[in-house]
This record gives sequence, C-alpha cells and structure tokens, in this order.
Amino acid sequence: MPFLPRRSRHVGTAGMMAPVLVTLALIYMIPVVGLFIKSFQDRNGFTLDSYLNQLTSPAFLKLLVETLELSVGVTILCLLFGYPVAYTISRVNKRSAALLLLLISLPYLTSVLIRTYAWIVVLGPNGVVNQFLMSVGLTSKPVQLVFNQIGVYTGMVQIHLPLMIFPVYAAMTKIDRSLTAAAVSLGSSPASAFWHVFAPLTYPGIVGGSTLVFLSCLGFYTTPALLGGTADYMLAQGITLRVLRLADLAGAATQATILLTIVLAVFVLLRKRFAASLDDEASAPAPLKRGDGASSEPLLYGLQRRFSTILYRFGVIVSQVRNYVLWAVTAAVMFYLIVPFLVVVPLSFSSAAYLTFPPPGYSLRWYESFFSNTKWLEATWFSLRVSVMAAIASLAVGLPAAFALARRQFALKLPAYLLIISPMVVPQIVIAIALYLIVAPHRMVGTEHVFLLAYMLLGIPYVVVVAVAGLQRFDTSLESAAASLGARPAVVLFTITLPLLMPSIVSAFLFAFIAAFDDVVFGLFLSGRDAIPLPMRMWENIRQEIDPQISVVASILLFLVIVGYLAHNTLGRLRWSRVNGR
Amino acid sequence: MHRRTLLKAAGALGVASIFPAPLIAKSLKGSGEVVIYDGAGAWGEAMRSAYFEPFEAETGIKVIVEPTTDTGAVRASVMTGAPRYDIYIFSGGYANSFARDGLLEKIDFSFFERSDLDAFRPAKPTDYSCPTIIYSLLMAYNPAAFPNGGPQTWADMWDVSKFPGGRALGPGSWGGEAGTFEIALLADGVTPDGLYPIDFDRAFRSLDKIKASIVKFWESGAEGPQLVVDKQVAIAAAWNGRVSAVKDQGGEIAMSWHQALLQYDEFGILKGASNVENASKFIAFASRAKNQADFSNKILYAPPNSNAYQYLSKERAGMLPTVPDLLALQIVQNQAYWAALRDDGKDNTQYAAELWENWITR
Repeated sequence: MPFLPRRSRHVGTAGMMAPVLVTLALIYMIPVVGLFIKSFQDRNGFTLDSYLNQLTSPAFLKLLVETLELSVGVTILCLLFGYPVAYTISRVNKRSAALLLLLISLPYLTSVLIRTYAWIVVLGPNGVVNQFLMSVGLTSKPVQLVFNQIGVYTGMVQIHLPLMIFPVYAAMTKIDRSLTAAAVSLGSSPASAFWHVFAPLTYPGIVGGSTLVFLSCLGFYTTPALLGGTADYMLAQGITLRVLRLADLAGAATQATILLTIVLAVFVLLRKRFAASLDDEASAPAPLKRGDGASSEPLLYGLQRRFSTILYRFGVIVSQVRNYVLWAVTAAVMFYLIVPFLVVVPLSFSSAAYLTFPPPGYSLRWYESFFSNTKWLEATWFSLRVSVMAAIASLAVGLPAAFALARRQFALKLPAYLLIISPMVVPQIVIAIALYLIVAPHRMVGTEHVFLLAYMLLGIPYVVVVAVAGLQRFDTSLESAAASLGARPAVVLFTITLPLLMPSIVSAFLFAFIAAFDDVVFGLFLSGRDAIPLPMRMWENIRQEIDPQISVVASILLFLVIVGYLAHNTLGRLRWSRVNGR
Repeated sequence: MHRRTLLKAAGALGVASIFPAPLIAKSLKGSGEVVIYDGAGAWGEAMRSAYFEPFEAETGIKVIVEPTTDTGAVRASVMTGAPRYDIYIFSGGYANSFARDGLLEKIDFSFFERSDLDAFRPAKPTDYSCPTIIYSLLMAYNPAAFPNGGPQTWADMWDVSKFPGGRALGPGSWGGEAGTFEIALLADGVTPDGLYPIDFDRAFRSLDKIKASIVKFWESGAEGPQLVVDKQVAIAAAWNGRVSAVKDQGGEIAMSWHQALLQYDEFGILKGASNVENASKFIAFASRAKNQADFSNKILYAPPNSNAYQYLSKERAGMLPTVPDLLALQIVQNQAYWAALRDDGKDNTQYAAELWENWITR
C-alpha cells in the first residue's frame, strides 16, 4: 500500500497524487479553463475588455468587498462559537461525543431552502424571538431581525458551523492531554497551559476549518439571497444571474476569475501558514523559497501577534469561569443548530396547503403525498445512492492525495493543494456550465455517471482539507513502532493509521455526502429524465408553490438519521456485551 | 386608453400577419416522441391532463417530460448542439432573443386551425413562438392591514403614509420579467402608452422614493404572496395565479387588478431538436380552444386562444386575467422591448441588470 512513510516511498508521490489530479483535470480543469479562455474573447479575438469593464465597475468592486467581508465575518463567528463546542466534545466520553457530532451534522440534512424558511419564521415580526423580546419588555414593537445583515449572519453561521467544528475537533482528539497536565504540574496556570500548550496544537484544525468556512462562504448565495434585505446582494448572486438568465458567460467567467485570483493572492500571501499546515514537524523544510516574503512578513507577524494577544486576554478571562462558560456556550450553539428543526418538523404535519407557522391544524397529508408520489421516492433513492457512491469515490481519490500532501515533500505541493481546494472557491454555477458544455455533446447529460463525477468534484476538496488537518499532529511514532516490530505496511495502515484517522475520515465522508446530497446547481444542468436528484425535485416544487412538502423530506431524513444512530448504538452495545461475555 | 395600449402592444409584438395555415389543418397523427419542459408542480400537472395525455391518445406521439431548467442552461444546450428539449417554454420575451440569435426552429403553422390562430389575443404567435399562458403581475396585500380599503394603484403602493407597512417587489436584475421598472414608472405617473422605451433614470428615481420601505426584492414567484401571508410585508407585487392559490387555501391576502402588468409565456422549438415536426403538432394541439379551456380549468393561467372562453364557466372565466372586465384594467407588457438589442450590443434585459446592480449596491 502506498501510504507508509519509509519503505513504500518508491510507490511514489506521483502515484498518490495521480488519481485526484486526473479526476480534477477531466471534470474540472479542462472545462473551466475552456470557459475562462472565453472571458478573454469577443467577436474580434483576444480582449481584456471584459476585465476592464468589471474592474472599473463600482458595483462589481463593492460586491467583491462585501462578499469578502461577509466571508471573513462568518469565519470569525464560526471560530468563536465552534471552538468551545469542539473543545467540549473532545472532553466528553466517546458516546456523548458521537451524539453531539451527529446533532451538529443534522442541520445539513435539511435543504437550504426549508432551513432558510425556518429562520424567516423564527426571526420574523411574529416570530419566537420577537415575541420573547416583547414579552420581557425589551422592545415594544417587533425588531427587524431578518431580511438584513442579522438574518444573513444568523443563517450563514448556522450553515457553516459544522465545517469549523469537525476539523477543530479532529485536531483536538489527537492532542496528548498529558502535555497540558505537565505544564500545570510545572506551575503553569490552567489558563496559561491551555493558551500556550493546547491552543497552538489545535492550529491545523483552525486553519482547516477556517479555510473550509471562508471558501464556502465566497460562493454561497442562496442564504444571503433569501435572508438578506435589499442591500445584501452577493457576488455569487450576480454570477448566477449572468449564467442562468442573462446568458452572459464571458461576464460570469470574468467575475469568477477575478474572485479566484483574489483568493489565490490571499493564499500566496499566507503561504507560510499553509505550507506549515501542510508539513509535518518531522519532515524537511517546505520546498518554498524562504526569505522572499520580507514585505509581507512583518505585517502578518504583527497582525498575528496582536490577534493572539487579544485571544490570550480573552482566554484568561474565560478560563477563570471556564467550565460554566464552556457548557453554556456549547448548549447555546447546539440549540442554535437545531432551532430550524423545531419549525420544520411541526410544519411537515401541517394541514395547510401553504407554509404558515404555527400550522393552523395538523394532518398527514404531506406524508401521504410524498409516499404516494413515485417522483419523490425515485429522486430520494437516486440522491442517496449517487451521493454515497460519490462520497466513497471522493475518499478513494482524496485520501491518498491528503497523505502525500501531509507527509511528503515534493515540488509544487502548495499549488497542488490550492488546485484541489479551488473548486470550493470557483462559484459552482461556473463549474456547472463549464462541465455542461463539455459533456452535453457526448450525450452524457442525464446519466448517473455524470452526476457521480460532478458530485466527486464537490466532495474532493472537503475530503482533502479535512484529512490533511487530521493528519497533522498525527502521532507517527505508533506507526513506526508497529513497523519496527515487523508489521507489514498494509497491516500498519489498516490497524494503526486508518483507525486513528477515523474521526477525520468519517467527517470527510459526511461532508462529501452532504455536499452532493444538497446540490441543486449541478442538478439544474445535468438532470435528465432518468436522473433527477431530490434537491431538483424540491426546487421544482418551490418554484411553483411553497408548500409544506419540502419539510416532509427534511423530517424523513431526520428520522432516518435518528434510526440509524439508534441502530448503530444498539448493535454496538450488543457486540460489546458479546465480546465481554455478558 | 387601455384598449389602445393593447392594440399598440400587439402591434409591437412583431406579429407575422399571414400564417401559411390552410383552411383545414393537417392531421396531427404521427409516431415517435416529443420532448418538452412542463414547468413542474401544479403547472406540470395541468399540462399533463389537458395536453400530454389527450395528445398521446389522439396522435400516437409520446410526450417525454424533461426536468425544469433555466433559460441560460437551455441556451447552452442549444449551442452545444444537443438541445435539452424539443419544446421549451419561454418567459420574459426570451423567445425573441433566441429567435434573433438563430436558436429556434420555425413553427409549422399548417398543423393549426385557422380559427385558433386568429383567436390569439392579446399576445400573438410569431414565426418562432406561440403564446401558451397569460398571467398578470399585480398588487397583493394584507387586507387586515388596511381596514378602510386596500391600495388600488401602484401610486398607492408608493404612498407609504396612506398605506403604511413593508413592501416587496421583484428583482430588477430580471429585466422586464419581474415588472419592476414598469411598476416604478406607473407609480411615478407615467401613462401606459408612454412606458416604452423605458426611462431608466426616471424608474430609478421613483424606486429611490420607496427603497427605504422595501423589505425584500423577492427571488421566486412564490415568495411575494408568502411574504404577505407571513405578514413580513403589507404590499407586494406578485403573480395572480400564486395569489389566488394562497387565497383559495385560506391565506389572508387580497389583490388589485388596476394597472396590473399582463405577461405571457411562449412555446418555442429549439434549433437542432430531434422532433421538430412532432413539436409543431404538439403546439398546434395545445393551441386548440377546447384544450386551453381544459388547461385553464386546472390552473389560473389565462388561455391565449380567446375562443377558449366559450368552453369556460362564467365563474371560472371571471378569475382569469384576460376576461374582458379584468383585461380593461390592465396593461400588456411589451416583452419584445426587453429582448431588443441596444446600440452597444446588449439587450435591454442585460442593460437593466447592470443598472440594477449599480443601484442596489450604491
């Protein structure tokens, strides 16, 4: 097997990177580069007009700045809320941790649309929050909490929190707690031990989580579009408008290219951070040129120092009342994550033909119409099947690459990493149309294969980011010990490496699955009569009428997950008791 | 004045004056299939029972429904040489821009009955397109918010002191499709026959006056009525079919037909389609008065073939936007204007979208 550090080097870094690079070349690079070439063309040949137009457009520049601001803001909030939660989960026992992680991933199972509607209900003028504020006398008339920035942030942070919590948690599980204990026994205060010993060790998780959240925010538009007000118009919204309505592919490609360039510039500026997060401490120095970052270094260093000072002060305060604060924050965040379900589940039993909350009466009519409609059932089965296959395939090509990125030294490592995660930045609508233009002439539209490939494109960046974060601070001495005791590489891989990496693999699978399962954009382009994913059906449905049907889908998924969890638990316990002879 | 506007608008639609339709239409019998877009949901259901099933029974041609897609994706499919449908349903005048760019096949009107063709109003077929549904963008409001009588005209919607509460409009980035520019101009006192060409400066100045009260520019047609029912806004621009549907199901919502904007969707046969002849046959079948009446009995879209009213009950007809009493109150949107090219090579929809982005980010 190719994953082992020393003995199998000859299998080669190239061999580990090849599957992911070939996949990306076929379904991503070739189509997207083709489309980007379009952004330099007009009827007369090569031109920069499209770029000049966009870069001199005040609207575009303002959108760009606002989109970046929102993405940074959401990332910071996710870190502030997500870190304490990840910390709590890393301290509780395994069973409770599994349950908490499950709860955290639940919001993902409701389509963005119904989740967003739930927020409109909760935050609206007659919503729970306003009723509470008025009943305690904080305000006499409803406060506008939705269709403005408050609404956008509420929705965006909720959606992105799991992306922060999982990688940070994965990093924390690998920290040897005896280190902080040692610091304390040597006279350090618990707060100081936490901030000087523990927190720095979670750095790879923070970088991984922040990367995921930030990149995902950039291309996200349904939530700002639905929860935002008149001023909350995002770049991705403009790009989608250009592709789907105005048929201005060159304009869309130009805007996407500028966005991508800026993000790449940010990465290059922070390349040492990323290079560090890609490198094992034990391995050789990064292949990046050192010392050429003189101009950016002091600025970044200063920022970083100031930031960590603030964090430190904050941490000292928090740690004095640590446990209470920690539990309170965790409980509040968990509640925040599941709030939409408190609306969605009752709504699915509504007797009304339109969305209204609380429902005027209760009935099973929407369940009946779901189970009696083969269209819904077929779409559900299609989505489940293809998303699972795509998630597995993403792991298959993504994991070897993650091992190479985290453990090997090779030229162009950082560019390769950026390439692999870039599908998260390029607005999905641009990738979708690019892919469509390539596959349509070959009559591949409307096949399961094309969905499998497209969904892999959604899954691979998650798999690689999460697995690379998981491989950081990975205690390689266990592997070395096993190997030195004569274990063959394959045995080491399957008995030591993969089991230790399991939390990361599970969260990578989950993200890859959910990204595929929730996808509307590829569905818009690639669906055919025999291949219609569930979100497309929901989307068709809401385009015509907003009715409680989509809340039924969300509730059924919730039910399936709970049943799955209980079954897994029960089976686990049975097996356990058998092993123990009880 | 309204009638004059109607005639004028009909003239502006580029009607091909004489179709090569014989006195007796050719038989629609055939074989094979026709691939069509059905818009899904209640609309798709109505098409299935009024058009697809009887068409299959009469002609032996199988109707295949492909999933819903947006205009941009459909255009891409035609350009790759693998059109996604034989027949697409165009809104917002996009059939005109497809026809202009050579992306549509001509419809064979020899399959049509002369009497059907002559009865299309207010929107007429062209060489490349044939209207299929007519609907109205009107003012929906929460009646409980205005116990002394609700707003009637767009100027009332702009009068925040007389009719307090939040407002919702469609996005101007859709060009003419959400009617926002026409509405802003009508509210500012522009007469219906002075609407086109759109005075964008004046439209934005008018929008400036109400911007502070606008809670939301909606993103889908179902959202407008939903915002009213949820009491998020007091008044919204919305499509009549959605408002009626919510009202029928017990939602608290009222509407005004005054100065409502009459819009329509058109069938078009995509260039390079595999079943061009079957597509013409289907469009002819779906243009018959009786079939359109069956359709309008299922869903509140008006039949473009005015003879369909002969088959509709008085009660049902009274709810449809093109029944004469209601038609007189409304303005037919000039959808061809929105697809027309400007000097810089952009069409009015693209131009409006850019101005809109500048305006909302200002």
